[in-house]
Amino acid sequence: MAERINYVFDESIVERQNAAEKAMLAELESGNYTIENPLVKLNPYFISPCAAVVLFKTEEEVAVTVTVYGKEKEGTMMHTFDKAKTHVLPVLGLYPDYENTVDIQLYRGFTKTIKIQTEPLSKDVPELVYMDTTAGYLQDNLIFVSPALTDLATGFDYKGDVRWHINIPTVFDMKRLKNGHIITGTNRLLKLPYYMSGLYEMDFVGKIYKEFKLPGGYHHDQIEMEDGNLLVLTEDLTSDTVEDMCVLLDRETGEILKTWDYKNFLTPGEGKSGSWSAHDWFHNNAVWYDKNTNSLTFSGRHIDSMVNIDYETGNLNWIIGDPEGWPEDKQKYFFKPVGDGEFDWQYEQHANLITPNGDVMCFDNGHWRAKTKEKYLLNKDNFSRGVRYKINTDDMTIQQVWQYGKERGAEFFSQYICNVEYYEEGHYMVHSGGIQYYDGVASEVFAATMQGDPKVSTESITVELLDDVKMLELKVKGNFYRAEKLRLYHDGSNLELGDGVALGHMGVTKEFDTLIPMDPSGELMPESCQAHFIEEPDRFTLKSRFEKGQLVMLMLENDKEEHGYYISTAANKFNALCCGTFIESDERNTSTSVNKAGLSGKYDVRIIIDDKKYETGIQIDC
Amino acid sequence: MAEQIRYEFSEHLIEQQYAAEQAMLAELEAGNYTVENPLVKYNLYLVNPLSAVVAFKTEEEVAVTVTVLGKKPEGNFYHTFEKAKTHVLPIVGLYNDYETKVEIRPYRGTPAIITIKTPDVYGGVSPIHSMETTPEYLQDNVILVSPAGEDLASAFDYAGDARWHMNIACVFDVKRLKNGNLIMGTHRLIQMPYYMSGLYEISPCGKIYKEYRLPGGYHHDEFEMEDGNLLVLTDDLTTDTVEDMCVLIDRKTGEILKTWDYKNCLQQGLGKSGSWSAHDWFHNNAVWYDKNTNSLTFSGRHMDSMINIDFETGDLNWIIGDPTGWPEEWVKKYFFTPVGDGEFEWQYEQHACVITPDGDVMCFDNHHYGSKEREHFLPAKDSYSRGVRYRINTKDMTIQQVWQYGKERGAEFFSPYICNVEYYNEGHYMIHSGGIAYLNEEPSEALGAFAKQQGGRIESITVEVCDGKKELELQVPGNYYRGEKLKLYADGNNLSLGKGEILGHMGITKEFDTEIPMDSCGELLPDSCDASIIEEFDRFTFKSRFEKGQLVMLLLEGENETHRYFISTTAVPYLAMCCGTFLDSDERNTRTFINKAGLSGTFDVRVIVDDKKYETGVKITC
Repeated sequence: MAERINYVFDESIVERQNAAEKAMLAELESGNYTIENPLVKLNPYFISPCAAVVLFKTEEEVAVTVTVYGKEKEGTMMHTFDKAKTHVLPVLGLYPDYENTVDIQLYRGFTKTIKIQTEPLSKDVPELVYMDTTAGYLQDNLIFVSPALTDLATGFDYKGDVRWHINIPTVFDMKRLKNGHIITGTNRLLKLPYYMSGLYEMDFVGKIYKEFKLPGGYHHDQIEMEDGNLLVLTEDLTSDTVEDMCVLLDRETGEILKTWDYKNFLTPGEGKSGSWSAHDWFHNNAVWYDKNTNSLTFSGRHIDSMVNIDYETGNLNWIIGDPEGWPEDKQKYFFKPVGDGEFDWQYEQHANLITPNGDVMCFDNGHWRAKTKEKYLLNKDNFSRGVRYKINTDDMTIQQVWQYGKERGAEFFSQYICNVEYYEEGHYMVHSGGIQYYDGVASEVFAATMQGDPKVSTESITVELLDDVKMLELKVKGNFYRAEKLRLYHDGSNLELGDGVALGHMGVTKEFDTLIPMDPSGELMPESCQAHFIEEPDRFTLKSRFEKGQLVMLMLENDKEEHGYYISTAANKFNALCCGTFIESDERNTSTSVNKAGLSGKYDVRIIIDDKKYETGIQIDC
Repeated sequence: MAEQIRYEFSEHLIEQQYAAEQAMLAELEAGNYTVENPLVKYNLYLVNPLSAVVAFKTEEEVAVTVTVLGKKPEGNFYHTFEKAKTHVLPIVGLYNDYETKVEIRPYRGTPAIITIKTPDVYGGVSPIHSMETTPEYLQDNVILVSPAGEDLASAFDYAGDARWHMNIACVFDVKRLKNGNLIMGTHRLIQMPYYMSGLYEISPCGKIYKEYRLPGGYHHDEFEMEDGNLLVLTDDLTTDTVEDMCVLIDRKTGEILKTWDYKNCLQQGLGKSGSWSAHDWFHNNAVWYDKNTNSLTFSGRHMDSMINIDFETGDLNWIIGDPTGWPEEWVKKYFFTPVGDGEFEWQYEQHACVITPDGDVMCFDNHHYGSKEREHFLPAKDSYSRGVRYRINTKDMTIQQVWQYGKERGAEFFSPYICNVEYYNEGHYMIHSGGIAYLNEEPSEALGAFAKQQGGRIESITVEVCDGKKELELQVPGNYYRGEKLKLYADGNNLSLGKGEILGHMGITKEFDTEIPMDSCGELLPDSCDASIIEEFDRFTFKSRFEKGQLVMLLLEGENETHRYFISTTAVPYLAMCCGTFLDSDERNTRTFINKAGLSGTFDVRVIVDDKKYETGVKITC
């Protein structure tokens, strides 16, 4: 019999990348790599399989142009790197499973043509249905979609060809920062369904420069302030509620500079949407900072509202939403529709944004499309849309000045996730990424909870409009949280060498109050549990299978102290599942992560299942 | 009899603008101007008759959005100004001869709509033939054309409506600076045919922030460096040659930091183009800085060449051009050899050299004469012009033509002078053929300004192509030096208050060596001369009519010294006329510009005409 359950130590990605980069640079130094004979490393940072790095040295300082040839000339992507003698050049936009032709050209000098054979991507790439646009419109931009189910973040060019993919589940929003880097959620799940350890600041070549860790984790959205600091949506995972906090992070140190707790300006339980729960009473899926009013706007799916508060005081300024059912004392915060134009309130909306002139836009999912149960619409009778409201905060009036999507009816309906983007007046993206059918009809149940059912089909439609002319429509299979339009190469270096760093810190994992006195049985966990134990530098995760209804607790024990962590074996019903990436298809599988923060010393790991305490054979050092 | 010829003192535009701005601010302070009742000043800064300034106050700090309402919504221009209590807002993009409606809206407040009426600034003559594009392509950009003849700068929107105009002859290139301001030539002519006092840094609404004066004047082109300093094409007007120098000027002080004299790296008389003259041996019409090689590229029309020199040493690096007729040692050392199977043609009398990010060299190849040898010169009717892009290899000194647009259009796109190309992105270019001229409905041998004087027809065609597809074609009557695509409102404040600065200094005007001893006849210049003197703070201009062949000299006679300036009365044939804006239709009219620099004291202005010295009755104090 084995003496311990399956155990792996999982070094952090940042550490692995640091080591790999050092090894790559050592290889460059030890060889005689020139433009005629460059060192070519496919995906040296492990996570970006459509990227490579080409390395060589030149005697003189010289700029270098990298050209990745498209399958036709419109698909060619290029970048000229600043002059240097040591060249470490990211090659972006490689077609997967293809022998790519890449030119490396010394500025006005020798051109070396190399072939880079990429590997087929794993099956977690979204399946393209169509990309309908022109090369003239999209140019060198890609449309990126970020995960909501098992398919991972991917970028498509004007032709619908995949030109970028990430092979780890970095989730939620992906934004370009002013320095050209990308900021997105980490792949490290802190707690189901989708609370992540924090954010990665990275480049498209896959190099992670910073991991920002947050005690309460990260979910849904982040935004860069003018000074580079980050507003991040988070929560207090030791409290009874979730998705109701925002923090301002110092970009350099990762420290929390300011915290907003929405319970200070809203009363949980007021203005419930159809998907409301006491635990997830607000469901904050977007944040926006507006410097013209020094205020923050939060989208709260579970109160059908976008709320605006003063950045300094945290006081409530206004609420955009259907005022029906809200208490009298809150009515003063709501707007009154005026004018002759068409008007609909938004319901269970996502991705609020403020336009330069102060209008408020969002993706109006329209889920339930009413405040009272008797008026709820079935998904098959419903619609989703991008919408733009003009508000007047002097006389508290609101007008709908634009929408796209209502006319498409249920085929464009997403009960969850999605976004809009504002580029310019009249120039928008509307991404309906959560379309779900069951047996050909808009599904009432989340697809993530029915994975494997052949009657389930999911799709995602991304549209761009310019003065109401449709310039682009991308349809892929699967559901995708958001879409973003970005160029792969940005104006900066596109790859900065040196160690990536982890900033901030993990929280103390919530413990179960009541400890059950019980002696160890001395037996190893049953094999039927298929238990895996994954240790990381700052935490560990137990993956194990239990039967529904079993009482299970994970114990850390030593001479001086005991810590107990409750593992729920009741199948959770999620009313909101903005990211089902981490949902197991087998309900009996559990995943429990415990942060090392707050723990100190060596502990034996044991598991209580009903009336028996099992050994894991694992000792961890915190 | 009058005691003085016509005399006026002309206040510098910066002074006039400051006075107008101060008066407007005083009016704002004196009145009770609110958003509902704003102070509206049409063309406050005097030079942009399609602009206005709107001023008012608000009790609270508030951002304000201005929307200049288009004839259709696609024609709207808008900008949101940062929050303030006193609002002085530039309005740009008014339609010509129209009552343009402008919405002024405090951030999330109640809008006010005002109407601003403009006169017909084109005097009943349409400034455009046609604009073929879509609002989706051009969006809020306008195509701005800058003068090469009597038609002054204008900018056209997607519908072909003029939305911007200048009523003074600011000539040559117009570029957007990184701070959102525009840089363009001044309208102060210091020597015929088109040597201007320097450059204006100006807001699109017409407010001049800085005049950069140069002792040798400004012509053709300027270029903003990464640090904000300016490369400016100039000459030494006291020497026998022109258009063969470049200076770097300090953006803050206007001082000259560095000077390049092309006589140091080239030899006069080598590589003559069809339009060559000893006086204008190089005819520099463009400058480009390339940071990847720390070098400058100059386009020399009268050498059919683009030359590249080291920024630091000024040493010649290479020459792109037809080597025919150049001395062997020059050809060996500096010229390129065409390679590859593709189509290839050299450029002749080109304009507007551009370096692409990957080091390719583009220009507008006027292809004037199309040869180095007189016997092969092409007549205008068999000529063509084109935008061209060359790939060069400076290691093995080879060249390839990688793109061209225009040859296939033949003589209808032929401009023997002026014009430009713009690089936006790979495959995305502007080609502006602004010097098309017909005489008797045949392509004209004479340049536009002269063709028009002889009753010909002139026009300008601006094309944009993206990946080989034509996205825009603008045809306007008149010849225009360059085309530029820009937005009228830029990021930033778009108007700063306060007095503009006059920087740098004027040179000492070249004097005539030989003294002609003669006493004043005591008579005023004859009425037939129609003489006038216009004094400015830093110079004065003497205008007068003389018969061809008369000996004329302008004298400044003071107590201790006399200064003499020769006035030529022979009609000068110009072989290059990049800007015919200042040509007079009557050859007998002369204009003489005398800078006050180097002069000190009070002088009587007298004029020798043949054997008689006349009085003007004007005294100039320097």
